[in-house]
Amino acid sequence: MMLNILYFAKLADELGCKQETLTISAPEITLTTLKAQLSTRGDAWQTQLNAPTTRCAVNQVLVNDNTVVSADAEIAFFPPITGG
Amino acid sequence: MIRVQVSNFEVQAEYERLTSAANCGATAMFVGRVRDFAHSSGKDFHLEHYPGMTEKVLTQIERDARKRWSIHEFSIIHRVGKLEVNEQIVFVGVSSAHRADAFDACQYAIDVLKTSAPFWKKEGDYWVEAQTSDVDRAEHWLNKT
Repeated sequence: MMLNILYFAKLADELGCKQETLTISAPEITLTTLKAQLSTRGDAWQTQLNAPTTRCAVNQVLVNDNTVVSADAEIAFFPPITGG
Repeated sequence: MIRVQVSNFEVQAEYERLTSAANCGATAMFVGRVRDFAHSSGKDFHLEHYPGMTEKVLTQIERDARKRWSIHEFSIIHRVGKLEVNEQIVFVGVSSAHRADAFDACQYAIDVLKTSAPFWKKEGDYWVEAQTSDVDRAEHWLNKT
């Protein structure tokens, strides 16, 4: 299945990536597993994705790591919000 | 009404829109401006956002506010892109029959926006850090149902 992953703000800078399409050889995956898979890319990935302050949204709704994502989901990782 | 835009806004025009409905006895408005976070004036200030999710969250804030308080007109305008220190960045306006509804709904909207709407401020190369006091203010409202 294909996942569309977005990265914002400081996370995008640290990872050198704003958007990617990832192919996963399973019909669904938990965020915990997805994060573990992405973390194998290196220290920056490991640190940024697993920081306790890092937030995740699936299809534009904030979720926790137990969330299961399936085909064509839009996943976003970002640091704490600082608008307003 | 929710707007996410690059261009500036005119407070007087927004006030007139808020008070166009009948029986608007009270109107509360909040305007936020860009502060000099890193004390490095002259650096580029930039506001990034998550298009789509931002509008979704702001629309939900309006929906929730309308459930909790008696509101006539409701506006949130948030700017994005390149901004200068001291420029207007956010507008929240609420009109109602009575001041308590207008004041509370206005404060609720800006407090919840600060911790749930995906915007990020960057000054030069420096990403502005989130404040725990902002989380406390939002939770104060969200725990008071």
